[in-house]
Amino acid sequence: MESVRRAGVLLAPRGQRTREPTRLEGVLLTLAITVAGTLLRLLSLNSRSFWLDEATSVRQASWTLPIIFERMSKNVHPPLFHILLHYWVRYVGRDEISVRSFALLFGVIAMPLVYWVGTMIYGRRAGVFSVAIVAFSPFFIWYSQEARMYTLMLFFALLSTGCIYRAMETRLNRWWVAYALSTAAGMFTHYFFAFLVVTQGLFVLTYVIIHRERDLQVLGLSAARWSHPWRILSDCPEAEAWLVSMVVVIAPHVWWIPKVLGHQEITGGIYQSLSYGNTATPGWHFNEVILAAGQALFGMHSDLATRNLSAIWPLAITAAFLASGHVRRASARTWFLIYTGIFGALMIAVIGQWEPIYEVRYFTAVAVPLVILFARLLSEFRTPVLQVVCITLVAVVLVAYADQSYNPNSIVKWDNREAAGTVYRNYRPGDVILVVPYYASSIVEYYLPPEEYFAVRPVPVISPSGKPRNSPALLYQDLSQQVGPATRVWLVSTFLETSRIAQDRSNVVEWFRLNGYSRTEDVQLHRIRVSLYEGGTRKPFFLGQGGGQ
Amino acid sequence: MTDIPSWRRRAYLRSCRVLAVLSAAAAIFYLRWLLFAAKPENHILYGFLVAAEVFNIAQSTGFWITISKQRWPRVSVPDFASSNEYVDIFITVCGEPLSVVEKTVAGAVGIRHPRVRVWILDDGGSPQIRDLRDRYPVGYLHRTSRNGAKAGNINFALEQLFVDFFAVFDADQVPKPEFLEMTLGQFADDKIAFVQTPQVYRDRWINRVSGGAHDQQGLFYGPILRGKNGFGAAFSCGTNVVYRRSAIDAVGGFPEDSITEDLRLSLLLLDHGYKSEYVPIVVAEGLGPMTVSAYFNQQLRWGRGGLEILFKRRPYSAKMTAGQALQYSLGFLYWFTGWAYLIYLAMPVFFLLGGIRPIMTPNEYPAHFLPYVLLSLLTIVYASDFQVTFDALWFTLASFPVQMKSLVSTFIGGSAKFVVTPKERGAVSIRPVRWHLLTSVMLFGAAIAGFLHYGVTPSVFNNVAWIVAHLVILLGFVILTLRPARAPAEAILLAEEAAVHDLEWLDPPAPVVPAIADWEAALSAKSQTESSNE
Repeated sequence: MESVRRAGVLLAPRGQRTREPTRLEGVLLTLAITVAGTLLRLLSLNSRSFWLDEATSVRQASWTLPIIFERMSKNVHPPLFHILLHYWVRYVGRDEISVRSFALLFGVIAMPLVYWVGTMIYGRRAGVFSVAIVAFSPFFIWYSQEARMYTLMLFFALLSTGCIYRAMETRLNRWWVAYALSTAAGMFTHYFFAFLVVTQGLFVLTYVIIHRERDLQVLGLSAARWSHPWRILSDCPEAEAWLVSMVVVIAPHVWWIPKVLGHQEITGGIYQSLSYGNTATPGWHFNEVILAAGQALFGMHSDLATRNLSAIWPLAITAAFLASGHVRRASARTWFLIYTGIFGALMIAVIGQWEPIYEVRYFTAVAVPLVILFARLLSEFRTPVLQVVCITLVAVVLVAYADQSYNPNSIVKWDNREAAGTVYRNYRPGDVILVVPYYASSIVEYYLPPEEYFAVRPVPVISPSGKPRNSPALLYQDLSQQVGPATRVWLVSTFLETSRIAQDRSNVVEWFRLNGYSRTEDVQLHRIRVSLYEGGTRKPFFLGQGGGQ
Repeated sequence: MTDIPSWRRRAYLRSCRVLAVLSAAAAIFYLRWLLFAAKPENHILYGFLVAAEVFNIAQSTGFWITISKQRWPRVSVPDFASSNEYVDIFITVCGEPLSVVEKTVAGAVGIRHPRVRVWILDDGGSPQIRDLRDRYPVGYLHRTSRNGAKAGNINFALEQLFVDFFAVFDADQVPKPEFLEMTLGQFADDKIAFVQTPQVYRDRWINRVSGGAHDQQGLFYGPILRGKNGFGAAFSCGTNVVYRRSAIDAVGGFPEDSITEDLRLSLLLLDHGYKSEYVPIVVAEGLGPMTVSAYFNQQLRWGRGGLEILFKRRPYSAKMTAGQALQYSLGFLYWFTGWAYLIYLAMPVFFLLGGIRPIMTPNEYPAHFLPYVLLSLLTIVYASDFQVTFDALWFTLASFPVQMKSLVSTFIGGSAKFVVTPKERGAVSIRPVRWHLLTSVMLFGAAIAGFLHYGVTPSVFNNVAWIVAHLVILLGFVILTLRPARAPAEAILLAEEAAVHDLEWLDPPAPVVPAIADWEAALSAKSQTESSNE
C-alpha cells in the first residue's frame, strides 16, 4: 500500500515498476558495478600528488604505537586509522599507491556493503541503486583515492547503520553487539561519526516513545512526545539494548575524552573559514555548506567550477517544490534514514554556523543514509523517467569524474610531488629548506628520500606552548637560527590563499632581503611555490637542530 | 487533503504549531538580515525586493497562524424523523450542458431527508433543462431577466419559496446522499447562518488543469478553511453550502452588487452577528476548469470580486474580531501575489542585462533565505497532510498575469460581470499564456545575454538558475495549456492512488517490516479501538 501511495506523475507504484532483481541478479549486478567502480578508482589513483593531510597521515603512521596514542590524543582526529595505517605501511609500502590502497580497500568494500544495507532497508532494487551511487559518485571515488580515514569511516558507518537497523528489526543481541563494535570503531576513526550516533540515538528514542504511546504515525515533529522519556525506557528492549551499546561505545573513550577536550582546537577554534563565499557576517558560514553540497554531488573541481556549481542552489528550491507532490507520510524505515542522514547533516550544518566545519568529507558518515534515500528515490521512478534521469546522471558523473581526475586546476589539488622534485633535483649539501606554513613540512619530508638527509625547517617555529611564533621579531630570531650559515635557502610555501600564511611568507622574504639573499629561482606550481634564495651576509654561528621536526 | 482522520488530529495540529513556530523563527532570521544586515547595492531594486519579501512573509505568517488554529466541528447526524425543518436544494444553472446538470439533479434528488425539495434555478432558459422536471421529482424556476447574476437567480427563488434552510449547488456539483446529514446538525446553534463544505473536482484525473485547480482548492478547503473556521471566519464559497433562510432574510438576501456574492454575503452575515461553520467532509463533487483559459476566467472573477469588496465595499466592521479581520485580510492579500512574483521575475533580468542587483553581498543570501523557504515549504506540505502537489503552488505563481489584471481592472476596468466557469473542453489556444511566453522569451534572452556579456561566473550562474526555476513554472504552464488532458494510464494511476489513500479512513497501513513496522500495527489497533468507541 505504501508504495502505491507514492504513485504520482513521476514515481511508479509497485505494480508498474520494473520487478525486483532476484538474489542472484542482485549479487551479479553488485559485483559488476563494484568491478567498474574499482576500475574507476584504480584508473586515476595516482593522478594527483599527496596533499598535506595524506603526507601527514604517513608521518603519523610512522610513529610507534605509544607515540601514536600520545600524540593523536592531542590531534583533531582519533587514532584508529593511523594505527591500522602504521601496519599497512610497514607491510605494504610507503609509496603513494601503496598508502592510498589502504583507503581504496575500504572504498571497494563499501560497495557490496552498501548493497547489503540498501537491500535490507528497501529491497534489492534500491540496494543495486545504492551500490551504483557509491561506485560512480565522484565524491566517493575521490575519497577512495585519498590516504585518509574517510573510507574507513564510510565502512564503519555502513556497518553501524546496517547493524542497528537489523538489530531493531530482529531484536537479536548479536546485531546489537555488532552495532556496538562497529560504532565504537567508527568513533575511533573520526569524531564526526558522533553525529551519526547521536541521530541514531534520537531515532531510537523517538521509536520507543511511539512504540509506547502507539498512536503516532508520523515520527517527526513530535515534540510533545518527549515529555517523559524515562517512563518509556523501562520496558522497551530497543532502548535498553541501545543504551548498553552506548556504554560499549563510550567506555573506551572515558580516558580519551578528557585529553581531547583539552585540545587547543576545541577551545580556540579549529579552522579559518575557507571563505569561498567571502562570508562577511562573522559567525555565519552557510556558504561553505552549499559548497560542500556541490562537492558531494559533483566532486572536486577548480575553484571557478566549484563556485559555479554551488551558485545554482536556486535549483534546489525548484527540486524541493517539484518533490513536494511526492512526499507522502514516510514509512518507519524512511524516517530512520531521515533521522540519521538529513538530521545528521543538518546538525553539522547548524553547529558549524559557529565554526566552519564544512569540509565535505566530514559528512561521510551521515552520507550513508542519504545515499540509500537517494537510491530509494531512483528505484521508484517510472521506467521512462528513470532512463532519462540515469542517462543524465551518467553523463554528469563521467564529466565530473574526468574533470576531477585529470584537471590540474582543482581547489583540492597541489603540485606537491613536482615541488619536492624541484628541490630534490637541485639540492646541494648545506642547503636549507624552509617550509611555510610549518605544518606543510610533512609534504616535503614525505617526498624527499628518507634515506638521505635534508635540512627541512618549518616556519614559523612552534613555541613550547604549542602556538606558532609568527610575530616578525620572533620570526626573524627563529630564521637566524634555522638558516644559520647556509648560503642557499629553499623556500617552499603553500596555502598562500590564507592571508596569515601569505603574511608569514612575506616576512620570510623580507628577512632574506635584509640579510642579503637574492632570489635565483622561482617556480610557481599549482597551489605551491618553490623559490631558491642565495647569498647572505650574516656571520655564521652555531646552528641547533632547528625546531618543529 | 480536506480532512484529517480524527485519531491523529491532535498530533497533527501539534506538529503544525511546532512547524509554524520554526518557520516564523526562520522568517524573522531572514527578514532581520534583509532589513538590517544586507547592504543595498541598487536602492530601487532593494526596495522592491524588500516589498516582495515583506509581502510574502506576511502572507506566510497568516498561513502559519491559520493552520495553528484549525478546528473540526463535531458532526452528528440529526434525527430528521423527530425534527420538522424543511429544506430546499437550489441548483443554479446558466447555460451549462444538459449532461452536466442532469448528474447534479440526479444527485440532489438522492439526498436523504424527509422534507427536502430540489429546484433547478435556470437562468439559461433551456428547454432541455426544463424537461428534467418531467424525469426527476424537481421544481423548475426561470426568470425573465438575468439581473444580479447568480445572486439575483437565488434571490428570485427565495421570493417564491419559504423554507427553514436551503442549500446551493452549482450546476456541476453533484451532492452525495449524506449531504444534509453531515451539515444540518450544525444549525443547532441559532446564530449559525451557513455551513460550508469542500469543493472537489471529480475530473481531476482526466484533466491536468482541473487537477491543478483541485490541488490548489485542496489546500484552501483543507488547512486554510479549517483554520479560518477556528477563527470563526469560514466564508461561504457559493456552492455546496447550506444557508439558514432567516439569516439571509436578515441581510436582505444575496448581495447583487458583487461578482463574488458569496464572500460579500459572508461579510454581511458577520456584520449582522451571525456565525458560520465549515464541515471538512466531501459531500459533493464537481467539475473543475478544463482549460487554462477557463481557469484564468475563474481566477479573474474571484480576484476582481475580492478586490472590489476590499476597495469599494468596506469589508471590515466593528463586529469582527481581530482574528476574523485577519482571516478576511489574508483572503484579499492573496490577490496581490502576482505583483510580488513579477518582482522575482525581474531581479535576474536586471542583473543579467544591466549588471544591477538589489544587495551587495549576494553570497549571504542563501544562508538566510534557504532555511525560511524550505521550512515554509515543509510546513505547507505537512499542513496539507502530505497531499499538496507542486501543481497547487505552480498554479498560484503561474496565475500572476491574472492576479495583476484583477487589481488593475478593479480601478480602471468597466463594471465586473459574473461569468460562469466553462465546465467543458474548449478549443486549445495559446492566447491565455501569451504573457508567460513573452516573459519566458525575455528570461531566456537575459540568460544568453548574461553569459555573453559577463562570461561564466557564479553570479551569472546563480541568476540563470533563478531563470531556469521561473522557466519551469512558465513554460510548464504553456505546455499545460496545449496539452491539458492526461494520458489514460496516468489518469488511472492517479485515481488508484487516491483510492488507496482513501482507504486510510477504513484501514490504516499494514505492517511492512516486522518490529519497526510495529508502529503501523499499533496504529491499526489504536484506530480500530477508537472507531469502535466512536
